[in-house]
Amino acid sequence: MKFFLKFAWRNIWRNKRRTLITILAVMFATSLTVVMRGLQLGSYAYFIRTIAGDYSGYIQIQRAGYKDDPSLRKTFHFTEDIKNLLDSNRDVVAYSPRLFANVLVSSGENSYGGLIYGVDPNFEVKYSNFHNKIVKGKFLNSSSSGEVVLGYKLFQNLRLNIGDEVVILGQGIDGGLCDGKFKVVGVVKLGYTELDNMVIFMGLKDLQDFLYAENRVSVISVLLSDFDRIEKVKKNFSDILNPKGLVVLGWDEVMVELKQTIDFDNASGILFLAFLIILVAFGILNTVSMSVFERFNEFGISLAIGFKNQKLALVVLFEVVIIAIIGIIIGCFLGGLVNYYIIKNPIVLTGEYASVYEDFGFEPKLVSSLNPRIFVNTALSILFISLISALVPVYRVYKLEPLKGIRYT
Amino acid sequence: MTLIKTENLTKIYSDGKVQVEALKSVNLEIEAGEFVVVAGPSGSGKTTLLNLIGGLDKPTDGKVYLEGVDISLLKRDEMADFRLRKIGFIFQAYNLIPVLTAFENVELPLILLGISESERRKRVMEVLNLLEIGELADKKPNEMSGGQQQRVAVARAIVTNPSIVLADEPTAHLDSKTGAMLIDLMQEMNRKRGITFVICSHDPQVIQKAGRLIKLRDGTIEDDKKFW
Repeated sequence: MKFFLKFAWRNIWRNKRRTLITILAVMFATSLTVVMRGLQLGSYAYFIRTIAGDYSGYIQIQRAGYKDDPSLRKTFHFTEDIKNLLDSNRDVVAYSPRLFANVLVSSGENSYGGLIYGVDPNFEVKYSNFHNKIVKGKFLNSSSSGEVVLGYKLFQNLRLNIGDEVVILGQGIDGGLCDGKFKVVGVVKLGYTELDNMVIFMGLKDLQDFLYAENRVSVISVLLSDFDRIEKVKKNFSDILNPKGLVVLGWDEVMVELKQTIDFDNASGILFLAFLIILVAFGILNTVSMSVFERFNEFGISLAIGFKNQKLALVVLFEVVIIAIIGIIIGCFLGGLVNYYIIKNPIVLTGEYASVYEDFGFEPKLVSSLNPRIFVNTALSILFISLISALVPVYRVYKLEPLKGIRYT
Repeated sequence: MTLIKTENLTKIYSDGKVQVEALKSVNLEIEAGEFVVVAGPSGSGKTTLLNLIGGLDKPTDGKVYLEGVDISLLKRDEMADFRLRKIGFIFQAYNLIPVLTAFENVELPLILLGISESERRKRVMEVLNLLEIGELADKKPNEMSGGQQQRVAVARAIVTNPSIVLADEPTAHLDSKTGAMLIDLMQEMNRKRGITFVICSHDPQVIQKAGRLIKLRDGTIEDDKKFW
């Protein structure tokens, strides 16, 4: 085996220029794939961190059935046991108990549908970025009582000023109507038109009192130290909470649309990269074919002296693997360097792209990733496609008869 | 002892329209230790005969026995193994692997035989020294003259101690002096080591060294003389 590897190594340097060009092609495809996948996965992680971080959490605790029927009847008590469970888990970075309610909000003659986010400011400030998205006034704090913060569009539609009062009409947990007056202390711009049109932040205690839902919450959104902790924590919590009628869902189960959008974008990205890799495969096919055909005479003589076809084919396969691995290693290294640079110095977007990002509540920047999955998948894909592209010439060697090789001109 | 025996050996080449009978019912026996030269003009069937004896080609009809084994019945891998163990080949030119040194070229059949590294080293150096090319061990083919390359080819052909060495026009690309030296060397190997040589050539200086001369013409044996 050692000899065959040495033999293959020397063979690939017979035509240095051709080998170098092929290695460059593999390297280029690898590094481009690593950089593009890095940008994709980095952006997904950023989107997920931002969106899941603010809204669903990396994981979310709900009462069983709430996902399909998000009503007050499906709320649950935020008990000390649950609090202790969350506080004692090292992977939990922060969490926020939330109670949601659909209401009608009025000011003067203007009335609009609203969605109340009942949040505990003590938890919420540690958990989400809502308080950083205040465009007017202030966010709720631990001493807030009878105060609300509105989405900026709802605030505009109701033609309000900071300090004005709004009347909120809702349905309590017992089915009875409930209403109350609340003072608008702040305006928030979340970046999602739908939410900015209807969101009302209210203190959790205020909302529980308003809905007669003492100590009840709709969900507990939980932030973890990393995405890869999700499955472990989910299982850990599920074992304890499932018997109590609660379920633990991942962000992808809660924010199904976001997951689908990412999956679709991911698939189109992979398709583009597959196209790129296939182009490289043709380059390898060309190189290997030329290298094999110009050695047919030599192969014929090798077969005549007792080389078996499969061993010759193995040498050719080794040549392809060596070329591919050199290109892949250099490509991964260079791609990784670029990704590292982008992580440390995110690409700041300007113009229209920046506006789109800002409108959705994201910083206008492109981030990258050094997720090992990027390197492993890229390396294996390119190695695999290299081997596939070498199959035809390798097969020709495998089927070569000594005399045909010797006579080949 | 009969080393090679052919029975009604026939080879017909066909391109679909035209058929050329390269060998016509050749019956031949070669004893172990013979130094045979197969001579004849171009197209007489010399190389075809050599290729059939060496199992590089299949006969259209007839049989080839090497040490009593009907080689036409061997499968591809069995034939490769048989060639590796029993037959040494020397071709006209370009028959060394250019990326390997002289040592490695000679070592190659021993690697394929699975012989240990220390034993390989011993045997390769022994053969290289025997052929007086020990100093070329680390040189690659492009650093050697044609004559030196052919010596290395002879070394590679005999390093496995084959039953027979088949040489196809081994002096064709050499000047007459180098060619004469090469044929002397092959004769020496025949005498010293008892290796059977079958050499195809129309080179007069090869023919005059023959222990047995088989003349072919139009695919048949025209003459067969034994000199020693």
